[in-house]
Amino acid sequence: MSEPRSIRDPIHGFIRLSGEEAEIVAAPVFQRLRGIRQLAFANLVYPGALHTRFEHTLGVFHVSSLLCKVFDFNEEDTRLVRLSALLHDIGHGPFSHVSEGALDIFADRDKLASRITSESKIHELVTQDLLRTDRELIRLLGEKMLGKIQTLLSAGYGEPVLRSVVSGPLDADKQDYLLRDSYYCGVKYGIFDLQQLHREFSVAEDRIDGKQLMITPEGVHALEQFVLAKHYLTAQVYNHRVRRITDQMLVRGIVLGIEEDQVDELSRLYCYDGHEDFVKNYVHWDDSRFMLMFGAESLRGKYCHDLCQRLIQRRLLKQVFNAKLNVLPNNCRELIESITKPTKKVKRRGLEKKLAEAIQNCGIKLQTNLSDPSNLVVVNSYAAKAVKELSRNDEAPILVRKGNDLPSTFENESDLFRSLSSKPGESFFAVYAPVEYENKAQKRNLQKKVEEPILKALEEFGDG
Amino acid sequence: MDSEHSIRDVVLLVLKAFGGSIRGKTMLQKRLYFVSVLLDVDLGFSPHYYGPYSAAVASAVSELRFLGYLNESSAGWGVDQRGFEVARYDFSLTDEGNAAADLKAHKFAELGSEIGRAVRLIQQAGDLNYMELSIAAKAYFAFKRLRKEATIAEISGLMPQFGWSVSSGEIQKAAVFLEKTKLIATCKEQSKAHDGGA
Repeated sequence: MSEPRSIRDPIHGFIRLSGEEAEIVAAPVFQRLRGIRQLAFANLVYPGALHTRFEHTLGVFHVSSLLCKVFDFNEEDTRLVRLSALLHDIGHGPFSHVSEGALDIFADRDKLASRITSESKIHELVTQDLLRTDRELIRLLGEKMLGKIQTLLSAGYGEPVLRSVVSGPLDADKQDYLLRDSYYCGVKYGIFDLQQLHREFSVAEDRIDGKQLMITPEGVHALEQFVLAKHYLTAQVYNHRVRRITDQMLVRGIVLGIEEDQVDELSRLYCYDGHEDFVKNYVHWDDSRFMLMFGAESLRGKYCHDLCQRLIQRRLLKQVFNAKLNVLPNNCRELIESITKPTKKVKRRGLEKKLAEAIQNCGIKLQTNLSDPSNLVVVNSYAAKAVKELSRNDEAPILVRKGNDLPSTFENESDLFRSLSSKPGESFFAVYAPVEYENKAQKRNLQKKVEEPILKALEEFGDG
Repeated sequence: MDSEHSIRDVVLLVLKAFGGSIRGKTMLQKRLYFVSVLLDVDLGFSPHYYGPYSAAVASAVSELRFLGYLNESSAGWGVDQRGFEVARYDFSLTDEGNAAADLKAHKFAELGSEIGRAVRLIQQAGDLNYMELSIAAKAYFAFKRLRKEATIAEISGLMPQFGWSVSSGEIQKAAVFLEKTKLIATCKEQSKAHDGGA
């Protein structure tokens, strides 16, 4: 076995790995994470955001290790939690979450019927396949341990507090990425007091369901700071307009590359059917290989080449329309809200063609030499959620210790959280297109020009 | 079961089946929990000190608000001595929400009628308040996970271990609820099926 290692990290200082953990980090399937950027093309807005899944994973591992000590886990649970933290992002594909979206679109759900429900995420199946089949991981950890890791990551294993460390409203993943993404983006929104938060973590002894994560009353303010960090970073970084556009451009490049350009390599990378050959190919891809391969000169004239080159040269699609869902014609709202779901693929293309026509009828040229410019008109629906609704890991039910009384919940104890959560979130609908303008006045004119025709097209779409 | 429906569709149809409104977040969560058990659908419930909780259901409720289908009004604020929120939020479908629920019931006819049956069963099993429903939910969650055969006596015996201050009347009502919804019988069947396969 390897010697223990220490790795220097700008967020947490030295990260210490045991011999076994150092061997996992040295495995090809882990080293591959060095080539997958944490925030895809967020560097087009925040140039510093070039950090990768590799250092994030080490950070999650470090925070998990601290939490194992805070919760006083035994040796066996500590090993399981630390290894699970190291392997939690192992299934990420090029550009992280962009690949997740593409996998959802192209998965062969008939062949996967026994493994999925309507809520299943395909990338989680890819992660499971990797943990089950990667020879190096099996050699290092054994199938039994990898099975336990899979269970902890997907459904929970042992006491609920173990799962809270790897997945939940206060998991190590969020604790690292808020601090790390803030640091690399150069924004100050994601800052919170990690040490104070950890100091105030506690465990509720639930005799029925097992030990559960709890915070002390003194931890309420640190938790409020954590929630605000998540809120601000989501608004300023994760939901930034340009970031939304670049993610959509990448997904569109993949979709058109498979469906219109018929690039076999893209199909092999994203048409998941559960066959073991899929992950064997998948683990050889990262961001650079993706851009080199699909933005290559040999593919000039293809949609995927065009979209890759636009990203490389920062010639992005522009947002020509953006409105709250509740001001759109009533007859189309629900359809629009779910328009980006894989099951709505045909309807989405129909709407995009209609909107492309509406934009062109205003005398606005779609700037592309490709055969069907409407393919580069992209609709998107997204939510700007209220603080308490930012993710499916909401903080409201986190337990707060109340001396000798029964525990309360964070929502009951935090006036700030309650008042913030009284403001409802909102959903938006946006249209991106290959148009150009030289200044803000031209931009405003263009957006004004297309507003009515787009609303009219949406109403007709709702009727159809 | 229809394949394309989402958790949000289930929440919408359940609200409609309960007459268009549910009073209190706890009540909403626990009712959805029992619907998920009776329909055998995964709505993302996981263990919590105060009974099974689903962040996915909470998120679906938010989405229904975004769409203008649901009003969430704050009806006074308080926490009882046991740590439960007291009727802070009332959820009610708007006219648009009612119309959308009718459309969904038509689109997902099988799901709609199964939800209707489950909700009637829950309603007929006793008019439980949020506390009694939480007791029943937590007890059932525990037994289901253990795949253990359960009787009213065993469930009653389990409840004092919750650590909550519950009265014998509340325990009795929760246990009768589980019996009337046939969930205790379901536990027995699952247990036998499990033993047979082992």
